[in-house]
Amino acid sequence: MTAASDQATQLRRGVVEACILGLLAREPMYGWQLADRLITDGAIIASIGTLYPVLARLRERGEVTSYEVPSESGPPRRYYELTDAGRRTLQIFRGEWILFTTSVERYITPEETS
Amino acid sequence: MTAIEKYLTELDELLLDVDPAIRDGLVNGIREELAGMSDADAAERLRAIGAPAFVAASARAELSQPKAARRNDPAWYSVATVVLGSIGGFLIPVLGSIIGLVMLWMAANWQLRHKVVGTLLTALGSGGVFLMLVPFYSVATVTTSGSGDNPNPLIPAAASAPWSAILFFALAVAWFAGWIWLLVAAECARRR
Repeated sequence: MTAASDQATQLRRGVVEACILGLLAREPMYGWQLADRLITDGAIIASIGTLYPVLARLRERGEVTSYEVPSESGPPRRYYELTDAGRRTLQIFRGEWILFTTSVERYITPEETS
Repeated sequence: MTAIEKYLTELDELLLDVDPAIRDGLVNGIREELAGMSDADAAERLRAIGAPAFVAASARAELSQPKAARRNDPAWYSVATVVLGSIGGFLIPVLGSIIGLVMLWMAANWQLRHKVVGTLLTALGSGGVFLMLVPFYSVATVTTSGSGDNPNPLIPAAASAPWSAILFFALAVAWFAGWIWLLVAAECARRR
């Protein structure tokens, strides 16, 4: 793994929980749907295999809960949704994220030369 | 065995030593998505997510990450919450219970179910202590008032029967056990 890809991996790991909470804040989603969004849209995770351990952590902390919806084509689908605790965590993260990105931006932006 | 079942079986076997909840969630999550698809469509989906070994390795890599730092209540906070919730109403009338409830719902070490139970126990609050006393009071009443020829109108009839003493005692034990359960749950959460 190159230094650049390692950096990207570390950055993604730091935000994957918040990204899942953010997606679920919009609507309940099932596992594949979540994985698809996180892989295709944002390259936040590399594989659906990454998703479920993260979901398990979020459920363990009471930030996400799940329920089954019967399906006509096969087994019921398990949907995940945000709990009140998850909404609070997301709200806190939003505040911290703005502060964090603002600070980092300030440090890494090249100084303008006159 | 279809290609889908072969894929899912292989993935399942690769994750045999992983927490069953995570393994089943992952395997069933893939199975749900492929249900009802033609073999060709399913094969295309499986190609897109990668070989079982790759998916399993991703899960393992995530599981090997240290848990994210989380807010943790100190032990004294949980104990203070339980004390205020249970007898706070006696220590500081009304306000004690309210402070206990606020602390309960702000706690990080209790999940929703703990907080709901804690709220019910707090609502019983002062009542819970009375529940503790009723068995003794009731038994004393039975032994001193005889057959009930001269019933005291201030004592509910039910309270003077031995079975009600047992019922009240059971409720009192449940109330007490509920608070202990909350303390244990907080301690378990702190150690995770």
